[in-house]
Amino acid sequence: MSPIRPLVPDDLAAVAAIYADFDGRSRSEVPRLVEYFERAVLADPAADPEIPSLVYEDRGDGVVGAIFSHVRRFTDGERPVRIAFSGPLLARPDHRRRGVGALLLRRYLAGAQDVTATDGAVDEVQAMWQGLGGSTHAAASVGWGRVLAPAGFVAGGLARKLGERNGPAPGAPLLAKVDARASGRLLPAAPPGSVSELTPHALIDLLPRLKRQLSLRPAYDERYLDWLFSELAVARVPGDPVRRMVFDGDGRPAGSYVMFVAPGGIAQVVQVAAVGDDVAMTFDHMVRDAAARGAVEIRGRVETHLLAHLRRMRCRMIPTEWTLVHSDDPALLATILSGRALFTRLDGEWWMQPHTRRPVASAGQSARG
Amino acid sequence: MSGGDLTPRIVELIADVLQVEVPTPETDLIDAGLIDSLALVSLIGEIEHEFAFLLPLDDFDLDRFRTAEQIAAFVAASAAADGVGTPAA
Repeated sequence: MSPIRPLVPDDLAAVAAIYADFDGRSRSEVPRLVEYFERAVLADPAADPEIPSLVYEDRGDGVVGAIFSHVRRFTDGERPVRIAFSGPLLARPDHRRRGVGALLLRRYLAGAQDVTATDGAVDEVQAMWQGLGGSTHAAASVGWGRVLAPAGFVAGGLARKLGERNGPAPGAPLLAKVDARASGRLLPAAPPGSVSELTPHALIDLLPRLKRQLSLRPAYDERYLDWLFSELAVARVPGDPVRRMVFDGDGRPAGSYVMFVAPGGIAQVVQVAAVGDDVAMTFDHMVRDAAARGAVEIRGRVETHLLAHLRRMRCRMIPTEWTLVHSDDPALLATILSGRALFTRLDGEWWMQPHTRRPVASAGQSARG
Repeated sequence: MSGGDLTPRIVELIADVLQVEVPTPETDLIDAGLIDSLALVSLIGEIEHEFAFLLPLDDFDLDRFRTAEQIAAFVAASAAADGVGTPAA
């Protein structure tokens, strides 16, 4: 009998304990981790029983490893596509050298999904994926950044080096005056059009407009987006989630963006949905919005459909986590790797890791591996 | 052909893929710390490539993957179950 089987709710305490140990946390955090896994994995409206999270059950020691599954519905033209994002890959330390992680990943990659992906892999996991036939999404494994407030950026960097969290730097009012003088050079000119709150309905209406350039795109429904937006609100990515719809001067929907903005800290972009000339307008609204909310830098992951604008903006490139994909369908793989897909962090698990959630007391290293 | 006939080829593969000289075909690779997740992935991939079939997913038993001798027997049995016949050494 295979030691690998679908995860059931009764496994969560054991899995959370493995996660806590691996991440150097107190066992007292296990109930909070269980709550996270229940809400973010089991209660995910896109969860698919055909592509479950998996556990490795040792005959003597019980559950000694797990891999979490976040299934996302996409459409390629009119064809439904299931993309399975692998969440934390866990193995109990005394079983890790037995290859438990590799066996779990191997089994997960062979699941019913059309594509498997991860957007937060460390080097060891990247090597494992490549060994199992996965591909590195080169563009999406690079981050971009643009400083919005240089004095605040430098002061914030110093504060973080001194161990303070992302947030307003000491002397913030004085720094704000310095940065106000620099903002004319650093911020894009005010673009035409307007912005409003991005609702599930608005995002669902927007995406089909992108289909000519982005044939593969999320197939959202309102129930899923309600859940997703509620999860964004409790994520532990520093800052508050900001969701905006951008309209051009004629009131036509031009694009949308989703980011986390930390006043005095970094704005982390998780999705820009726009194509062609609308990218610049959407991007410019987003950058100015981040600056107006007090971010000293804006960062995101390189998406191929944004590349030309990132280049025009002279954004700096930043090393980031590996984005990896695996599929037996070469055409689908080519669509993703060549950038004809709206394949963003919003649909991945980069921002969903347990260490990034507010209910968990301390931040720490990802438990992948 | 039995697993025993494949053992020298498996020892050779381990040396090629993991850069490890197996002391004896009975050496426990797990106890010796020679197999971790990355090594296992590399070894499985190389075995599948070398013998041109897929090792089973469902009943992959790590305890039958501890020594070169066991791996050879596992490969022979898996290949037979897969219907590709016993791979040649």
